[in-house]
Amino acid sequence: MTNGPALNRFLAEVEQRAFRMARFAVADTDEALDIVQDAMLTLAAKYSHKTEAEWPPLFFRILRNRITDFHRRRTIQRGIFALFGSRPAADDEPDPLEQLSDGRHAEPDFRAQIDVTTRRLEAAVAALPTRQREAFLLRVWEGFDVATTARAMRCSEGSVKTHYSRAVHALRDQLEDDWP
Amino acid sequence: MNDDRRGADDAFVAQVRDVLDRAAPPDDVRTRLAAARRRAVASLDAAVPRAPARWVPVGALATTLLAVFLSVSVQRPPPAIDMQQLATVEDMDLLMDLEFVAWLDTDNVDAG
Repeated sequence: MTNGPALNRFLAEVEQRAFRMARFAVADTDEALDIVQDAMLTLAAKYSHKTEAEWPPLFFRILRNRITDFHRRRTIQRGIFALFGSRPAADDEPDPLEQLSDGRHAEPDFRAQIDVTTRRLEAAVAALPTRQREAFLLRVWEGFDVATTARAMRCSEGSVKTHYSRAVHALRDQLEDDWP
Repeated sequence: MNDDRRGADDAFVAQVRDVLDRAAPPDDVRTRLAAARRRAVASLDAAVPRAPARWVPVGALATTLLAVFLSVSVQRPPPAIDMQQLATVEDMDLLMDLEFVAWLDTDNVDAG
């Protein structure tokens, strides 16, 4: 027996948020799409037999792992290119999060469809430390409770509360003045 | 004071959620996401018939081994035949023995 229709519903529900979470983390549309697709395929291959209630934390855990893998690969590539001098060294290369925050270097098609408020919010969210951003987005956007967020992030509930609280305050400090 | 702060945080978080929800990815991204989803679901459907198929070679091998075992067992002569042959040999010896005795008797008659 296949869980195809249920899996299709679940992925359709989360795919856009998953993409934007990935994009916050990697600041590249194609890479974010690859990461989301990989997470979808992994969930289908390994966890489709689980109950639907178990899919959300599993899916976002897979997504996190793929994002981490991306950053590891990127770090290694930077190291290799820096070693052979064929690309700018890591210190000279612009931070992808800075590119996103800046907005000038981001893909125009993507940026054109996002209004100023959203752009400002995205920049602030992207600038959060990784764990804070994950806790914030999973709690606020996915609507996960503390326990589910802790499972997805593979950390304690206390850590989730700390990361989330710090993220909310950091965003408020950055956005409060000109928030609509 | 804490309640005020918490209320303000909740209101802020609700606003953030609204803003994030409003900003859908562009059409081409949504199209590619839908295609990725279809691939994931199709991989699930494709995997279902393969599960029982994996046992076909194992079943075929087990059946072949069983057939070979049974065939060899049937072809092997039963132990009773060996006993019969043994008995036949003993009879022959006995027969040869009797002839010898008869020859001796004959010889003895001739000699006597």
